Amino acid sequence: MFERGLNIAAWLVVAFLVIPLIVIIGASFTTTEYVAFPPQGFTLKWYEKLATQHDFIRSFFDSLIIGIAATIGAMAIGTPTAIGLRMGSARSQALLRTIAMMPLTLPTIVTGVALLQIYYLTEIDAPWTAVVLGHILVTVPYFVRTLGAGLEAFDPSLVEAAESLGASRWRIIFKIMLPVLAPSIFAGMIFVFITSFDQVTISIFLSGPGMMPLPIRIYSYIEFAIDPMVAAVSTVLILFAFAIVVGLQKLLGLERAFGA
Amino acid sequence: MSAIAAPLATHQPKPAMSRTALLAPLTGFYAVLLLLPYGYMLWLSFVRYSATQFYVPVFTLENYVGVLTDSFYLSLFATTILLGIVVTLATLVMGYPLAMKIVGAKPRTKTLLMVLVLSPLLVNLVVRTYAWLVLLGDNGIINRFLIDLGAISTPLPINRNFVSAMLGLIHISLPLMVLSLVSIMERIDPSLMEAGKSLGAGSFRLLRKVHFPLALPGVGVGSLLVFCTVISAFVTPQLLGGNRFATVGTVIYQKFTFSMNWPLGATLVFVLLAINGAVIALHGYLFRER
Amino acid sequence: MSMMATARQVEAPPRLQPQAAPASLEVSDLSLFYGSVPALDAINLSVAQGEFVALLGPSGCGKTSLLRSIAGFVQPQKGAIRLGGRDVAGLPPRRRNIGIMFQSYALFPHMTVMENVLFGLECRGVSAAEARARAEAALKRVSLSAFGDRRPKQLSGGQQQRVALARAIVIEPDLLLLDEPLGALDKQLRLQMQTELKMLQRSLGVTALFVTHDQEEAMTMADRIVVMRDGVIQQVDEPETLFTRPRTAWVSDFVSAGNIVQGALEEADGFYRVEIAPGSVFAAAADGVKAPADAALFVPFHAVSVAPDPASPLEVSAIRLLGLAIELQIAYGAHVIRVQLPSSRVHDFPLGSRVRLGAEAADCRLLPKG
Repeated sequence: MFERGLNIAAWLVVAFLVIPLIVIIGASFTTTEYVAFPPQGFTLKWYEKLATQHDFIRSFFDSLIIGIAATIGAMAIGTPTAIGLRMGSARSQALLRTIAMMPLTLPTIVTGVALLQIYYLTEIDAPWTAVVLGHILVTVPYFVRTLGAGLEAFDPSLVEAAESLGASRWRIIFKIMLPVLAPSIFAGMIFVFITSFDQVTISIFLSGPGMMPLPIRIYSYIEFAIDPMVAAVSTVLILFAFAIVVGLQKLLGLERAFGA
Repeated sequence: MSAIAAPLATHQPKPAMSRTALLAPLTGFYAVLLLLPYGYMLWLSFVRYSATQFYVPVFTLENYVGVLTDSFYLSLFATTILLGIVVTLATLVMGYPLAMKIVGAKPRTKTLLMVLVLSPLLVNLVVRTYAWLVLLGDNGIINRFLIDLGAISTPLPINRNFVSAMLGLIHISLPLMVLSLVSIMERIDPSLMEAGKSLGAGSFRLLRKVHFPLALPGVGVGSLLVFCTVISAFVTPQLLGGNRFATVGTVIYQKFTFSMNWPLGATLVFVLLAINGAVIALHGYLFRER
Repeated sequence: MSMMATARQVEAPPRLQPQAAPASLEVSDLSLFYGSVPALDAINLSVAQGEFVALLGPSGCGKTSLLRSIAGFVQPQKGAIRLGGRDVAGLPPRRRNIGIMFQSYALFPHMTVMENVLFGLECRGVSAAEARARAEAALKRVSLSAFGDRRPKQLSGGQQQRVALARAIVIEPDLLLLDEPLGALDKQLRLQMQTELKMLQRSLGVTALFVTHDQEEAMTMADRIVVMRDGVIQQVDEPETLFTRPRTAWVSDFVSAGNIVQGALEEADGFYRVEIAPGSVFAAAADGVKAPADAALFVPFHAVSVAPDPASPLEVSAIRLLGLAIELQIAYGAHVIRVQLPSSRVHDFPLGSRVRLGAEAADCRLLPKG
């Protein structure tokens, strides 16, 4: 009986998690000019509006470009870091790993503000660079963690086997190590990209005129209008996130991907 | 066959680079983008605010004194910490049964539940908070529903206050707590529960005396994660609190963008960091190796 | 199209050729240190072409270090390794032409069985057609012809092992190294694989060196056994010789060759004898061994004679059924003498019956403690 109760409680919590998102998705189809749930009528006009909303389209591409740049940057810095963190004594590894993960443990708002201040101080006016660097800072730990997990799980006797069979160093790297590590690398890239794409706190402080990542665009839109178009763009992002999680599940299994 | 001294290693396996070289990019990157800015902020917290030129480079403790004695700030800290505690407890109570279910579920159900719990994590904060904005507004879905139903005549005060911020933050933090709990519960040996049952323990006693103690490390990690996230949060309280409900995060934001009082903002930053640090230390102490 | 070409097309599919030129393994004065700890201490070993040699010993004895030194994964500080006459000590593993079967199989998880087997041939630049033919022949030898398209994780432990074997032999190595290959298998499969492995090695004629801590396995499969302890070779002999003439008491204990009789040795007429109880005496010729302090008296299990004797203080304390034989255990003091008899005699000496023990001096030996 208690177990029944626990079961019901669990599903109620799931409902709590899911219902707000369902509400948004549903509201995006309403014919009314305000957000209504259940939606009144069914229309795709808000999606149509979204498709022609230039500033949103612009922001989408801004976020895309920043995301790609952040991914490249996080990989460039994160790869040697993940390899290096596996060397040395267990104690030193633990300490260095904690340091490497610091951007995750420090409050994002503090990091955002700190970066803002440095840009004021140095009077550098390069919002794109600033935002990308800021995004790399808060995403590198994710890449390091995911790649690190992949390296941890990598069976070293595979390399020895390849060596004994006559493989040259390059063949080992390209035919054995990279293919086996590919899922971890790929998952890391996805994490970095998504985190950058979703990043609000850092972007709020560092973005400037002429460059507004999508979340910030939505944020400013919300502040003066809550029409269903925001529900439409939200729906797109929610479904996108859902698709990625399912993809990660297929690729890597959720435990490995999320480092649980 | 006579013994010949062989030359030393002509064949060396892998790492061609030292650890220092491999960690150099990260070190340099963090030094410039983390160490420097934080260092500068620390310095800012010890200088005097000036309305005309942002700050006057005079060493002073007045910022810290002001923040730690002014009743406005003290109640701000209290509110923020209270928010943190309430949200942490709520996510714990809500997350525990869900985590138990996930761990005990069949593979299909388990995957479904995990996907449902993890997907929101990949959606940006603004959208996740927007959902609550839409639900809790005066003209929002809940209020309109209740008014149309005739249950109430004026909108419920569930927006731009502690309650709305709390609900939003619970929603944001729940996946984090569930993940931490699932992680530890997966490692609980099911035969321990079976042993308890065979010895005659009822479900509630089993939970209280066997399951929960075993899950404690995960409870600790999850609580730490959620608490620190909540007290440092800014986007969600800002959106759901409007300009009427303030937390440390929203005030910091304000100080650096609107009122341009950098020294004070920096001071708040370090007080926030200190609170975070204290909680982490507390967690470390409570869960130390015995 | 010439007659020769047509004739070749009609031939049976190519088989793996047995080793052509006589090759052998010679290890000279090999020493390996980790810091100041010697993992291998002046190892000398000679293995003839086509021999199946086991490296046997407890963990930490150096058998794996020796294997890895020969393979090239670890570089000894002193000594030489010659394979087929050529000095390989300076060569990286990929140039030594050695086939290795790893304990974990080390199959490439992202490749199919066929791709795994082809890998070594690709590294050698063998043409695609020939490589394919050789790979198929190898898979046929390990009875996995139909599994070419599967991935390692779809295979059982025994099948994975065969793939690892096929991959190692398809490159026609000068030497086959096996690192505790049967450890992960259950008993039934193990026994089966022992036979198959041995037969395969025989038919290929390839020299093989395999590491094990299981003395029964070594006894079953090896032509000769190298017993190692703490980085030093204790004895190298055929299995029977090891059993009947262990060089030291330690070796005898390790391979369970026979009893080491505990007790003070007394000299008498060129013999050393131990009396474990009134009427129960074991003796062996001195034979040049420094007695009595450094020596131990060795008696094979089957050489102990048992006779009923109500006056003796010794009694049968346990009986073990070993299939075709039985083993009686007779306690004396804190020690045990084990006697092996044909199982037909299972009722001759029931538990608790009093017996007198002895043995022919010719069967016993005096061994250094070791």
